[in-house]
Amino acid sequence: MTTVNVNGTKHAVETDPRRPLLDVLREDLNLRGSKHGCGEGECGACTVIVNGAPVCACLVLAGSVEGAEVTTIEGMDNDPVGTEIVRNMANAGAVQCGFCIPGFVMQGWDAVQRASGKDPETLRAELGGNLCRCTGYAKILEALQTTAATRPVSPIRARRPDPVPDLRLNGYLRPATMDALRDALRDPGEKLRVIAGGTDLMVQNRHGLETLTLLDLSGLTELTRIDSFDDRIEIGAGASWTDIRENAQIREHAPVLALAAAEVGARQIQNRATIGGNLANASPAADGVPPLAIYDAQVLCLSAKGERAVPIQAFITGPGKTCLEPGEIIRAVSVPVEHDRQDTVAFFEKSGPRKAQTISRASVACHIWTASDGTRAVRIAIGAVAPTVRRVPEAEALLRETPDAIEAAADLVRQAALPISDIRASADYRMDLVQGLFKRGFLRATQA
Amino acid sequence: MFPSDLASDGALFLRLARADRAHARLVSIDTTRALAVPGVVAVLTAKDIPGDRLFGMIQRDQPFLAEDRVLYDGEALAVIAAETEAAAREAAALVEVTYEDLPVAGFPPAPGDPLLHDTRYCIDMDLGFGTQADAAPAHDIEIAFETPRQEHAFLETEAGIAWIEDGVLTLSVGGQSPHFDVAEIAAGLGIEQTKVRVLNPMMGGAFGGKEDMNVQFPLALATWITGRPSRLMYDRDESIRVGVKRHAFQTRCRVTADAQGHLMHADVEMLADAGAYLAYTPVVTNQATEHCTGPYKFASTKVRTRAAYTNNGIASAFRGVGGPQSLLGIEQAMDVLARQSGIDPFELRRRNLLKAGDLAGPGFRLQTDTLLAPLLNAAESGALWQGRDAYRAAAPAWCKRGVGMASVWYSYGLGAGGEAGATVRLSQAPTGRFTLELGVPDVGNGNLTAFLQIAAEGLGARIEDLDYVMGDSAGPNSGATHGSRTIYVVGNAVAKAASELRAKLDAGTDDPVVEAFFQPVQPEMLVRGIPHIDYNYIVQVTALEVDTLTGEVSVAAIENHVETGRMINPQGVEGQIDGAVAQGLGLALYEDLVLEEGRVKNPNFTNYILPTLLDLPASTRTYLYENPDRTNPLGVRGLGELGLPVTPCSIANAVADATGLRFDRFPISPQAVLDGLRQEQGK
Repeated sequence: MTTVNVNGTKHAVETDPRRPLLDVLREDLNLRGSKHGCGEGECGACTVIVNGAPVCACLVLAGSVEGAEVTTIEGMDNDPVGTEIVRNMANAGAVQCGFCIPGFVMQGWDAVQRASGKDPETLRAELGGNLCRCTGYAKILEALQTTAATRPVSPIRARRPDPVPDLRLNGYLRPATMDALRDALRDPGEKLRVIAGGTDLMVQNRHGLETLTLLDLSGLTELTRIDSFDDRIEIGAGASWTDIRENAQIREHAPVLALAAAEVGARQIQNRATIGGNLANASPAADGVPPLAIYDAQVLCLSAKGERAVPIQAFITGPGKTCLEPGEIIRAVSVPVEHDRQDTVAFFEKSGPRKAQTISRASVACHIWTASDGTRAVRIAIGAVAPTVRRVPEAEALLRETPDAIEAAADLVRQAALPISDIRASADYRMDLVQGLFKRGFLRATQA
Repeated sequence: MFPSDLASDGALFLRLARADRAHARLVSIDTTRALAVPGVVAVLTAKDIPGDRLFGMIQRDQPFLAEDRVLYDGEALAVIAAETEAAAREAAALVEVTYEDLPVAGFPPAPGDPLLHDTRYCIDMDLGFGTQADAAPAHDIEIAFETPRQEHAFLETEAGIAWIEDGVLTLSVGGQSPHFDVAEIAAGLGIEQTKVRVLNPMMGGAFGGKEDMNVQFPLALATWITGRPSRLMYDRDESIRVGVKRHAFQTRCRVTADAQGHLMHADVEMLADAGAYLAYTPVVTNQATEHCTGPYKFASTKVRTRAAYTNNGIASAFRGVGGPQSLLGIEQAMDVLARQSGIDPFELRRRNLLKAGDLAGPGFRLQTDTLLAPLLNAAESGALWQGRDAYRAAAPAWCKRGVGMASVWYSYGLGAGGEAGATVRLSQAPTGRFTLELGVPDVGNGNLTAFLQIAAEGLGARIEDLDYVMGDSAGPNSGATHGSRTIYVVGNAVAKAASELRAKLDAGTDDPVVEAFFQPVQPEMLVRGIPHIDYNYIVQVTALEVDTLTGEVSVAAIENHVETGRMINPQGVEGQIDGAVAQGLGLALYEDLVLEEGRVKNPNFTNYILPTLLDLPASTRTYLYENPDRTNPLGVRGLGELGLPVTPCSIANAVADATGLRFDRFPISPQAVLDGLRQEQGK
């Protein structure tokens, strides 16, 4: 039995908590307005609002929303923002086949509130996670622009999930306290898979979720905290990319991490995906890792035995591989803080096959500053061009001594790459790209 | 409710067991283990098909379920019907197949490739007119390139349900041709067509990719044999793996001209990848052949078109069929000619426009003047073209900017000999409400709105007074939703029905129902399907930026000038142009189905790259010019496809303006751009 609170009604559903929320909505609750377009979080047709934030229902575990408020397109009937969007879409002729529209209304609901009073680019940037194949987006955008201009306000608000009880089922564990978590880690068994946001795991196991043994961290609100100390920021493993990109301390002290957070998938993914998941999945293309590498972050790994801190560069050992032992999870990421940086140049540049919701073909994180003692710091890391993210000490050293040697530094960045060819890019192109991205990032950051 | 939203109590979940070979002899299919899965009700193979085991709209060459051989990866082998989706999935994986592997026929064909059917080339046409002049041309330009297989990527995959109602097997599915589907299903089940009804509700997109049968027959077979309702929706990876695609082409287009830019000779050679079965290949190659020299007058032409059978899935219709693959040749050649001759690209085109009575393309006589001159004038004086120098000059240091244009024609309606006409029914109930019945579906293109507008206008009624039944094979046969024909053909039938019913009502009839048939005037046939009675025209100007550090191309602005015929719903026309432009932009820059030995390597939206909103230009302006077609009473033209083929052409020309580079492969990849820039630098 899984309880879900949808559109203000609590439903007790006789279902496996390991199923995607989308299936439970459509099949068990007969709420078929959320559409199944791809099952991998790419199209946004299944977008629903969970605790005030739009997410892809195909990438949400049913068991993870027990303490949440879920709003679907059916729940937009009386919402001032939702109804205004629908009206403007009808007027603009924004609907052709209509299949993507529920997702656009749900994501648009968030987008128009975020963009209201801001420039048109802000609104566009919020909509990269919804595909439409019919309209070319023009009239959908027009309808949302019209809506944003009226500045409607919804009573649906961001909220913390309600506390949920410990759940220990065959194949599904959802601890509600850190003690229960440590218990669960004591004898993990070979098959135990940890799930946080689920945006990687659920894509990788689309048709086999119910065969997995899952340790779901969604009940642990402690893990979503971002705590700021004088010498470090501790980012809970369950913090989402939205949490990170909007956190004032991170924006000030680890600006490249905040920039990268805004590039992880599109908004629905950023609302769901976690920093811990990004690290544990250990994709060479993970956008969260290069910024953590330049700040020499530590990964705080928790097991029943206690906690250890592992430097980020040692944590990821290869594509999909980490140093996590069985029964060990990421509790938090600790980012050192340095005060009074001067003359800062900070950028995160990535390039994927398209401009939004895209997996990096190459990425560059760079932060250059002058410390309070007058020493110059140069930090450069590159992603998606080697089995793991790499720092580029040669380029860092060169730019410490010769700040203008951008071309030569870019050559060194290129030489640091050890890329492979895959479906997204050839190795040769990745070398060119990482070099080009470094130069572009520098030009943009210094010319702006 | 979309087809994938439909469910009925007690419906069986279907899954298809599919071959994991691109080419093999089927030695045996063992369904024992699949049948033993708890919850599995039936596992059906070709042997269980009571009627014809082959289908095909143009040629009945494709098995509903493979029987003795597999011709493409993912070809269906068995239909699993089970009480739960999980059981159906489990059983589909347990169908045990013994294959004898055969060599794979790829594209382009290579010597020694296996022969998949009686002939290697399902299409081989050699057309043209006149003889190439002896005089040496001042300009001799050749453009050669290949285009990829393009995935329709309708947001709703192939889906539907089936049930039996009063002894009639009824399907509600995503499809484009309910009456055609009925004929295929009835033949396959060996039953009367009156025993089958196909409904096409509003569906999540089609774009030509749902013209061919997809879930229809598995649903029909399972429900007919078990007597129970059934449901089936393709997974996204399944849809990309086995669904039909736009044909990949290799095209070579040679154009000669005199010193004043007057066109002399065109020599076009096209080779298409038809895939494993014929499907709509002849329509695609016909359209490519008909349009390949553009709306321009040549003294002589030579057009060779072939399509080869391969093990690369199945290619069929996709919006703008054959258009981008052929028009990218002539429109790039015109652009090169303009640069070489120093003649402005608009003026060059104006100098060469076809007129009524001229021989066009592969050798048919044009019925009416091209309508391009006013569009060319408007686009040339438009903001984007006039502002091109300022736009280019404002490029960031690491970018090159370019502005390019293309002018394209594209037919509407089915070609000579292909249009059987449309029947619709219109009636008035005692309550005063009207009901419009027609067979064609609205696949998201908005034809329903237009039909209601046409009927309301003809009746002198309000749209709110009209009910409709559409996308239903039980209704009058109005053909299929394809070929930009529905407003043009079915719309005229609706107009006719409305005026006839109004006349009847005015005369005080006690039988307020009419059935009207409309078949448009047909031109003289060159070959079946070529030519069309008339064409649509569009001029597009594109401004874009090429990042010289990464090779990325960003389209900044597009301006369309479209000649529309009489407009029923201008907002709908704009929407059709916008959507087609986005698909054309995808083809130009992003969309590339990667095949290796017949297997799709990117069957998902993570790696088959569709443009997002941020990949579309921030500014798109579309100017519509109403120019009624004189060959049909409504004066309408079909505009659903035109915006697609023009877009890769104007993008290619804008990239050339920015960089001086032409590319031999589409989509234009950032790697190819970087490589090209480097070679230019090295020169």
